[in-house]
Amino acid sequence: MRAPPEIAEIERNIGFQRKVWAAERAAWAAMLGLVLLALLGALGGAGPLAEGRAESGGLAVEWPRIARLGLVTPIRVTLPDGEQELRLDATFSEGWRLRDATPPAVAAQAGMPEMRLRLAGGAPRATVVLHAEPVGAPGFRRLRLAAGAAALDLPVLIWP
Amino acid sequence: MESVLRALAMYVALLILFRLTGRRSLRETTPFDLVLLMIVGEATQQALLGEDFSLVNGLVVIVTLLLADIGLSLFKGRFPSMERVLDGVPTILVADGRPIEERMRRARVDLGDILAAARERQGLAELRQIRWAVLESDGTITIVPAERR
Repeated sequence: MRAPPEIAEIERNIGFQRKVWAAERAAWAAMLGLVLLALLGALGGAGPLAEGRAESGGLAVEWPRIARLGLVTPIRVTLPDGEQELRLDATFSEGWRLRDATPPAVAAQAGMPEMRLRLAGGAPRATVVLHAEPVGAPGFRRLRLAAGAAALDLPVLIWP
Repeated sequence: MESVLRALAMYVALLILFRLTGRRSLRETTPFDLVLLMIVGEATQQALLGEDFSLVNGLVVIVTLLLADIGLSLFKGRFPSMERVLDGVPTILVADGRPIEERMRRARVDLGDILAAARERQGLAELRQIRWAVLESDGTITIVPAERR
C-alpha cells in the first residue's frame, strides 16, 4: 500500500526521532543522577556529602561543605574550653549573611579584619549555632573561624 | 540584572527539561498532571523571584520570559532545522491498521491512547479502521481512517 507524500515525509524523519528517544533516555538517567546527588547532599541542603565536621585545638565546627545561595544553613560552633569569643574572618561578612545566632551573642563587633561574636559564659564549652545564608557569587570559598589560639579554615562549595 | 539572568536560566532549563522529558508527559493532562504542573510553577516562581517580590522585579521577570519566547520563535523561524530539534517531529505509530509496538513503547503511547484518539476524533472503534496514527510533535495523536483511501 502506497503512503501519501505527507506520511512518507514523516517516515523519513524516523532516524532523527530515534536519536531523540536515545537522548531522552540519557536525560532520564541524568535526572535520576541529579536526584541521587541531591539525596546525598551534593547539591547542598541536608545529606552526608553536604555536612562537614572539623576540630582543631578544641574549636569544633559542623559546617555545610556544600551550600546553596539564598538557603539559610546552620553552622554549629563549639569553642575551646574557657573561650567565649568567636572570630570570623573578614570574608565571612562578604560571603555570608548572618541571619541570627542561637543562643544570641551577648556582644558583636563587625569590622576589619574580622567579625567577633562574644558568647554568654556559664557552660564549660560555649556552643553557638550561626544561621547564615551564602550571598554573592556561586563557587568555592573558604569559611575561616577562630577562637583563642585555635583556628579552622574550611572549604565550602556554593551552588547557585 | 540578576532577575533577567535568573529568568533566562530558568527558561532554558525548563525548555530542555520538558523537551527531554518527552512530549507525552504533560500533553494528555490528567488532574494529577495539572497538580504537578502547578507545583513546577510554584517551585519555578521561588527560583525566579528570590526574595524580591516587588512589582518591578515581577515585571522584569515576565518581560524577560516573554522576550525569550519571542526570541526562540524567531530563532526557529530563522533556522528550520532547529525547529525539529526544539519541537520534535511527528512519528507514525500505526501503519495500515498495524501498531508499530517498538515506536509506541519508546514514545510511551499504548494502544488505548491510540484507540481513544480514534474514538474522540474520528468516531472509530477498531484498530483495523485506522490507516495511520501519527504522534504529532505537540503530543496529540492524529488518526487517518482507513475509509479515506
